[in-house]
Amino acid sequence: MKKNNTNKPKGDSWVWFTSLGLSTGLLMVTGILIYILCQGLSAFWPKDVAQVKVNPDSSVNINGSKTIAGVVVKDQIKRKEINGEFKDVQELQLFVANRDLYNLSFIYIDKKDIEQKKYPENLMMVERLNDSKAIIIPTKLIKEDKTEIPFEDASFEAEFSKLVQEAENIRDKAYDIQVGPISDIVKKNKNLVVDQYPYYEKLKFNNETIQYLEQYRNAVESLDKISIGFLGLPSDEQAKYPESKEYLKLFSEAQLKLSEIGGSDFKNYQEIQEKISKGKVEESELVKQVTSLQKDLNKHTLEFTTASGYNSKVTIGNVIHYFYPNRLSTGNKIGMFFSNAWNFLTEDPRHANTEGGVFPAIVGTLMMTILMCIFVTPFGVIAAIFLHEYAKQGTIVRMVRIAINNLAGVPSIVYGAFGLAFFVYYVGGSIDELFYGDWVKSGNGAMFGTGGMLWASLTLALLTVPVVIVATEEALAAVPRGIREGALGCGASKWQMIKTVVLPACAPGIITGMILAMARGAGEVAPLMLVGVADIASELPIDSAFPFGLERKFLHLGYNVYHVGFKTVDSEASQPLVFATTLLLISIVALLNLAGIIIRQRLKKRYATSAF
Amino acid sequence: MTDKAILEEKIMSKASDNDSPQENSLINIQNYDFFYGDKQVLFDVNMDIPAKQIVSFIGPSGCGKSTLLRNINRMNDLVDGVHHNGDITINGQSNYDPHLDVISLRRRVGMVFQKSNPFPKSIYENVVYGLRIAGVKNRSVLDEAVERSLRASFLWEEVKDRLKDSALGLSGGQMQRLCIARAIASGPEIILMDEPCSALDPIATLKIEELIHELKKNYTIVIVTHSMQQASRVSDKTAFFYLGELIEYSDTDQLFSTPKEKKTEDYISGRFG
Ligand SMILES: Nc1ncnc2c1ncn2[C@@H]1O[C@H](COP(=O)(O)OP(=O)(O)OP(=O)(O)O)[C@@H](O)[C@H]1O
Ligand SMILES: [Mg+2]
Repeated sequence: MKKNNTNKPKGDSWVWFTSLGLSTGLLMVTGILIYILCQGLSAFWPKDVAQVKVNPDSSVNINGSKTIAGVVVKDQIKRKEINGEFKDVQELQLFVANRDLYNLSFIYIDKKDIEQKKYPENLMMVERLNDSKAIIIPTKLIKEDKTEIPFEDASFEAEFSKLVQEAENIRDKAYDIQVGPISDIVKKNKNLVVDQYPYYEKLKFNNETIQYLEQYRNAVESLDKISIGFLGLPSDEQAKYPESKEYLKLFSEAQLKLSEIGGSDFKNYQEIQEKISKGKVEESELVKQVTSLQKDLNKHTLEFTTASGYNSKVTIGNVIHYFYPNRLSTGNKIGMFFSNAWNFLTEDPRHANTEGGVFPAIVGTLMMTILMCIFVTPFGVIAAIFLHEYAKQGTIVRMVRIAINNLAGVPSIVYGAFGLAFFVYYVGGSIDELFYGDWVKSGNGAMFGTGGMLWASLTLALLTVPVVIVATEEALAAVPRGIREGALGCGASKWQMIKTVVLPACAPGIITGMILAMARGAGEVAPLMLVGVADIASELPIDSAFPFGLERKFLHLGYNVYHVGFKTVDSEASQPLVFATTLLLISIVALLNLAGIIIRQRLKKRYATSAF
Repeated sequence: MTDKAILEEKIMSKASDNDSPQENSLINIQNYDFFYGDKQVLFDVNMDIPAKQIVSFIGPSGCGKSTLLRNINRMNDLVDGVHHNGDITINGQSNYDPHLDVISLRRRVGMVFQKSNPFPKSIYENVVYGLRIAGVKNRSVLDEAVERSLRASFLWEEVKDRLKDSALGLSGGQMQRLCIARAIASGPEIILMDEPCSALDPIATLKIEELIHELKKNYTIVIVTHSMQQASRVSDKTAFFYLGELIEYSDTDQLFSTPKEKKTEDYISGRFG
């Protein structure tokens, strides 16, 4: 035995030790990943809804009712104090939905208090537009013309699903109007206000004009209150509002005076004002269309009761998706799983992000990450080239290098604060002052002087630039001296050498830096809270015209996790969504990395510097 | 731009004028001392290298052969803290003339290194590298240069069908010949070779030697070698260095048959080294 031992190379046991370290790390990481994967995916799996009847002696109830329907989310053992003694109790956690009625989302029931547990087929799960999920038992459908179709009726199902489908079409139509013509007109009007502003400034040359301009503007404002874009209405329409007389008089008086004093400036001002009023009328027409569409949504209602005996109703327009959880076969469930996942990926968020999909957040995250890469890569590469190729190697460069490495340890919120102070307030503020002065002063709000996509990606680029610099420097150092000398020997200048042989040879290393930067940047949330993320965003941060929506705030998956998981009223109920979002974020980062790795592999093949 | 025009013209006329007199000294090294920092590695070197001849540098390792060679095209500028005394002139122009453009110097003095160092590009791009960075874009000039240089380096037949393939797929000997092709593509007057065959097998070595011999018609070649057979086979003149000093410099036959200096004799007879 002893002999055997001495034959073993010393330090062999360290192999086991190091592998233990590695496997613990891997185990922890895969553990988290698997947990997130299970939790995230289970969010899409339709679950059965149980209806339990609780022992009358138990304290558990919903407003006195002992019958409770809900999805079992946990079946756990909990230590509880009962009559001064601690006991382990088997406990169920039920997601009961109907938060608007019950004022709670979850209920905990001791298993031994359950008298009866069944899965009634008539329970319906409803996802609503403006409310949390609901678990209901429909009673009857009341149509616009007051005809009623009871739930038991054979035609109920077909009729209900038809109405829900119709409502969806109407919603789509209203949505199209909102993001199309309405938003166009709003933008046009904003620009008109900006165009008008310089004339306003020019006209304010003495006290008299100031006074009349004030009168003019106040009159317009008051008239707008009577009917939006009043001055843009045809005169017979205007006549319908007798209360406008007084303001119209003030308006005409100011107008007369101003055109006497103001000359062509006022003429221009007035012309634009007319256009603005017309625009407002147009907008209000469209808004009216939308409102009437939305009214259509509320024509039909579904009356229902809940397992706990609440009677209530929901308008059809409020129903987004519905299904009967306990009627689903496994095949149906699989189908629903995929359609839920699809909806999650493609739909807009609803109900303060706690319901619906995360499509805008996906777009926001992807755009921000890609923009960040576009900013950080050239910047980091140039910095690394200077440090490694041009700077005289010495104490200063060494210190700079140490400083760069240490930058990685600066808390990211500090970058956020810096981004806010420098990019948003200083750079953004200056841009606004220089180019959007009229925009800001005319009351349209800041353009670049507020958090947005551009500033967020720049801030994150700053945060990740050390990673790129370090990776690029390593790659530069690894370029064999032979090919450098070869290039110089052919008569290349230093820059030509760097450009034509050194940089291509380090491309894979640069991509590695980019991948690391991406991994770091895509999951970063803290700085975004200061420089550009939004809680709720109605528009995607994409525009066809300058500034391409880059100035706009955006939704971000990482921030969504924080916001939905911890900052909403009913965060526990949206927990599955949080897991799904986390899973999605991880997958997106992984996909981006994978893309980077594939590109790197290609480059490596192309530029592999052979072992001479 | 004028550089480029000259280059293009040179290549198109397949020029390399053959009419300069044989014993005309092309490179002239005078009282040359060289220092890496405080360490002096060359001591008062004086030599003339005639045009269209092959000159070998021999000597024990560390005696400063590469250093001298790399000063002929100022490759040692890349090393920090070097300085020198004396002068090296090419065609009467000093290498250390403050008006001299180092880049055009390097274009006139091509270099082949001990380890072949093709760029991670295609064979074609490797050969035209020097022309491209000089700004030559004319496709026919480039094609012409590729064929001419590859033929001159005896590589054309082997690679003419795979010019677009990566140069890194070539064998070691082919790579070295490619590097020679690259060095001659931009039409230099002088080619410096630092132990070009040290990493090659005897057959590949023979091919390169043959090539060097062929190149002599058009170029002046300075070659550093550790193989005395090689020096005696290829060169017209040989210089023997020892500890940074030029001990003996004469016609190759003479140096190997009747060395004047004791140190030379010891070295070529293998008594130290
Ligand atoms: N970059 C450098 N910095 C400092 N000293 C150097 C440097 N390059 C070479 N030397 C020194 O200069 C002396 C001459 O070196 P050189 O490379 O010219 O020798 P060599 O004759 O080419 O030798 P070998 O036959 O081994 O290639 C050696 O003592 C070497 O240590
Ligand atoms: Mg050497």
